[in-house]
Amino acid sequence: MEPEIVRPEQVAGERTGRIRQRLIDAPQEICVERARYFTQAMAEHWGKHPLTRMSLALERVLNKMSVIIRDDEIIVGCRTGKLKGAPLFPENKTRWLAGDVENFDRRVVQRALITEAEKQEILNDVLPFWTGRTVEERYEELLPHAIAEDVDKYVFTFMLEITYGIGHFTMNHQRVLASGLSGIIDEARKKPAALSSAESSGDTGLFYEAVIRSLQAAIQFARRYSDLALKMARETNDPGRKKELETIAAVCRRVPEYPAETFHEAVQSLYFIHLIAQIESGGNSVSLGRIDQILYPCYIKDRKEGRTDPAMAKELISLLFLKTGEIWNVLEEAYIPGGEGTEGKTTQNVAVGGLDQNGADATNELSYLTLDAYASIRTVQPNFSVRLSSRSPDFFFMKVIEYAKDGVLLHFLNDDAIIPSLIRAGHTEEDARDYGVVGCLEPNAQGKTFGSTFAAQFNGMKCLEFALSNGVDNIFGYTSGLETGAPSNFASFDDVWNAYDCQINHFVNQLTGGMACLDRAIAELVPSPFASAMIDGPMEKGIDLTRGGAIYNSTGVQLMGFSNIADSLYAVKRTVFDEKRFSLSDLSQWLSDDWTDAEDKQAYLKNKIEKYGNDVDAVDEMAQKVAGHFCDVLEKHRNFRGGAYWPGVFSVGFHISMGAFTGATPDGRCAGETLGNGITPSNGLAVAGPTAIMNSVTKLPLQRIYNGMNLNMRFHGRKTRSRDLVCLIKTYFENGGFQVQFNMVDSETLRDAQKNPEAHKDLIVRISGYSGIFISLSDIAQDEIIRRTEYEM
Amino acid sequence: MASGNPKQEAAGLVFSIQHFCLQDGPGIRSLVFFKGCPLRCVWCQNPESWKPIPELGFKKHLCTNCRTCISVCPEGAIVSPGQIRSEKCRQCFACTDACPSGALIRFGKPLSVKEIREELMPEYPFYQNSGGGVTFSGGEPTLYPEFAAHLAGSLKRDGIHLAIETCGLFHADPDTLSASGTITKKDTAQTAHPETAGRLLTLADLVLFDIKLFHPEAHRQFCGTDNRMILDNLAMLARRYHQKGGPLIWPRMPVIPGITDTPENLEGWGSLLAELRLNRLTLVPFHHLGEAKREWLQLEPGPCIHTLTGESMEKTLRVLTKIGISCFAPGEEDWPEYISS
Repeated sequence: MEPEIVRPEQVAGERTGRIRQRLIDAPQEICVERARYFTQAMAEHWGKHPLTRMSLALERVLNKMSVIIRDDEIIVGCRTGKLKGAPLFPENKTRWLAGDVENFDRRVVQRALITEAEKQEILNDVLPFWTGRTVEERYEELLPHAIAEDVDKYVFTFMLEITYGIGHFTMNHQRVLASGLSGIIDEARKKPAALSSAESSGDTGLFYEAVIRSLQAAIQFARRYSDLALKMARETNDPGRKKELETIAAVCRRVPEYPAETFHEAVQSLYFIHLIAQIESGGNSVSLGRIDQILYPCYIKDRKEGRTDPAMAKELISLLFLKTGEIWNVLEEAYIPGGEGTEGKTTQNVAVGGLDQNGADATNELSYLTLDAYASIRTVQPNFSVRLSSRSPDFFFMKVIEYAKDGVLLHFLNDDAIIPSLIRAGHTEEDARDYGVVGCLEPNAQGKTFGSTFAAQFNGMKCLEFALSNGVDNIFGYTSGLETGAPSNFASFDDVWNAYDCQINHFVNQLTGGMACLDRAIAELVPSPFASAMIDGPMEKGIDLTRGGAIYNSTGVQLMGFSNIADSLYAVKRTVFDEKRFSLSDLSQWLSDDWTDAEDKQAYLKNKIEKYGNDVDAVDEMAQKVAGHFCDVLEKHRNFRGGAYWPGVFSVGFHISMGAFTGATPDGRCAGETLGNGITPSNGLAVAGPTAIMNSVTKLPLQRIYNGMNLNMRFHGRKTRSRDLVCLIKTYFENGGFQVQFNMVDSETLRDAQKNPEAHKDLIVRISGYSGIFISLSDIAQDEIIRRTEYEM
Repeated sequence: MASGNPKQEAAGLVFSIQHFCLQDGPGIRSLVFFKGCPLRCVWCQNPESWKPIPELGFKKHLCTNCRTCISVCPEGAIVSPGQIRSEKCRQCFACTDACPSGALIRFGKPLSVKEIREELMPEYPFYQNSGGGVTFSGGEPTLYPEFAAHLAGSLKRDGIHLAIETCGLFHADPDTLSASGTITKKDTAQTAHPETAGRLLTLADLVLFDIKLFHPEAHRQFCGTDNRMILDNLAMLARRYHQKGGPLIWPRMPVIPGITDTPENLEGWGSLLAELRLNRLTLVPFHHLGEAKREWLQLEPGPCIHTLTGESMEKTLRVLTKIGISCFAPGEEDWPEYISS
């Protein structure tokens, strides 16, 4: 049986379709409310303990901020007073705001509307208080001079964490659904009884107090929605809407305070918790987790009692997803290219499918409904992960492939590889099996982890640049790296490798040193008592999340330029040392000159030397070595919260922004060009097709890349048999692949390939009996393919 | 360098191996393109497959005029970039190895069974999970009967599903199902001797049999040869298949507007296929994808062939369906026997 797929036009006339259109049409705006109330409360309570004043500030915000129920809404709760409003988090960083406030509504990328009054309020009432009090300033104060010097060298960045805090977690929603916030408050009340008097009057006692205050504020916030719904119900003349509003009022009166009794209550409770965590702190990628598992008990109960049906459940999930689309964070203009897309999305992840804690397949009816719900709206958020294993039902496999073919963006994750990897990283088997997905694709134990998965981005290619230039930055022309020796003195490839190893180790040391300062500044100034009660560990230990309260405490560092490093090292080894075609000092000079007058050498290195991603062992072995080395280097470090550093190889947009500050590279890349994206081979250089790419990837020590990786594959031809795509993924997963996502190539991509053939050398069109790649076709043939593509769509 | 002469078949001349092909047999497949073809179909989109010898191609648009080719040529055969005096060229391909931009390219490389198998082995799991395998294509694989049979045997021993795409022009002995090729002139591939191509075909699980023009004269006009042998081979293979002694025979027809899609041609083939009880046919729509290749090989442009319209395709389908032939697009066949096996 062919799985059916859902498209947005099918909900166009319905409630979901109307809300979706409203969301898509809404402008991005800045909202001052959170900053206003948060700053007022902090100003009043600054003398108190950070945990106390944090919970008081959250309480103030939740009590004062606008509560809004818009037409058609069933699932309610707003992060700001505007539909697509970005709140501000001045406690983290204000310096950029002073500069960007005037510019928000004028800039081209990520333009955000803001009223003149709000601009004045930010400049006059918000920012002055924070001078000398922000995380950024405290971090800079803590940062040793020797590290501070290396922070601005385009090798690594903490940009997102400095601006918005840590974020990147899933919460234990099951506990809230089962016992309500009231149950957790009771627990927090009992805790101090067991403490010594010193503890209960000290940090631990204050922690529980802050937790209770925050949770009570959350309950109060929901009640404000209940009151509003009741008021609106009284005022409306529409009997249908009146009934809906009364239901909303009843639901918000019960949850999240009490256990969820119905599916509707469960979804609303989950959204309140998800929302409030993102009002408390601004960190990106607070994720929903495995909602097909979390919501399942309430769904089954409702089905049994005849309260819901699949269509109703799907609608509620769609409405939940549409709510996540209202949440975004505005970025400093200079950082937008590295951020999570110009939409400013916060990458709230949702995962469905996969194994349960006992290792059985957990795919259920809600897994399908959740997929359909997402496919019916196809908005920028949430970010959707599909967990698959050798036990996943074939029908589920086929269904997700049908969606991928239809252009729905899905990340496929392989339980059979990820679970052993998480165990290796220190998880219990049960926790590893119950991993949730955070942000883009980072797996970690759901509701038990404070994993800071996108803490730092590390440009390994810049380190190789320094190794081949005796520490000189080829973009700026002055020494920035270690002086690891003049390349002309390198007698063997080992010398090159040693120089690279020194540079990497040095900058990773600087990174972890700097990160410790930043994490400490966050723990000192902006603890998260609300989120601490939502993740396992802090409540038991009496320690805030930011200080290591969670059960699992890792920090993710992403390697940028992975394919460039591997290809470059291989090119140096082969052409300089094995074949002695070029001298290293010549090569070093060409890189420094960005290939000026050496264009033929550049072309040779780019076109004639094998590249990672083509299933060529010699170069894949280099890639293996580079990946393993990065894991070795990180493994030596521990973070501020007592956890490990986890290597990741995914990029978001940082391969673009960091590429802009990376000089020419021996793989034939020009200075400033984009770097490779995650674990994906460099753009246009994997010319042997998808199976070869996958075979190259699965040679890497993926099991050690705990923080996750992204492999982006593009396909031409929606007519590709679904079964073959299923088999492609299954084989890749059997071979140990972790993650893959597909981009179906559309006619727009093909047109771009006509204009920029160099960037699309890997664009393969498979036509029966024909041998070739897209860019080598004549214009007329390319046009023909484009016409076919359009026709197929 | 080994010559392309199939009589000395230590190596087969291959111009490309492509993975993840989904339109030339069931499942996920790799295509091995043999170089050399006895036909010269005017619409051919793989003209680099014609000659059974390695060839030099020149992609002018990529040339940066760096003149590296001139400096590395030991024979002084390159006058200026792209201008090669063929009488002086000894096909050492130093120029293509050195060409930094990839403007000078080599078509055809003799590969051993071991080399090809090593290239294919990492793909095996993809074949096995998808019910796919390897397809010999070309060019014409039966031009290398011994080598291809050797490779086929090696793949079969590995348990790999094997399809052979053939133009049908080979000498075959109905009893042994044999065929073999001889090359009479350096640059012209001709058909084969009766002994060896048969073994190759018996090793295949599936023969994708290309049919083009039904009328012998028309075939001569558009494909360069008579088609009697092709018709005989098709009938013989169909017979073997029905007697359960041979591979599945699956005919494929390129739909070339105004050439193969005329009612007479379609009816001619349709009736024959029905008579042979081969009632499934893949229609391969014409495309212009290979046009640039003629330029690279400094061949005359092919004749102007119009783009296939949906309307004419429907007409073709109507004619064939009426005769009782089920038609499929490449990659959409129902492969009854192999999906289940």
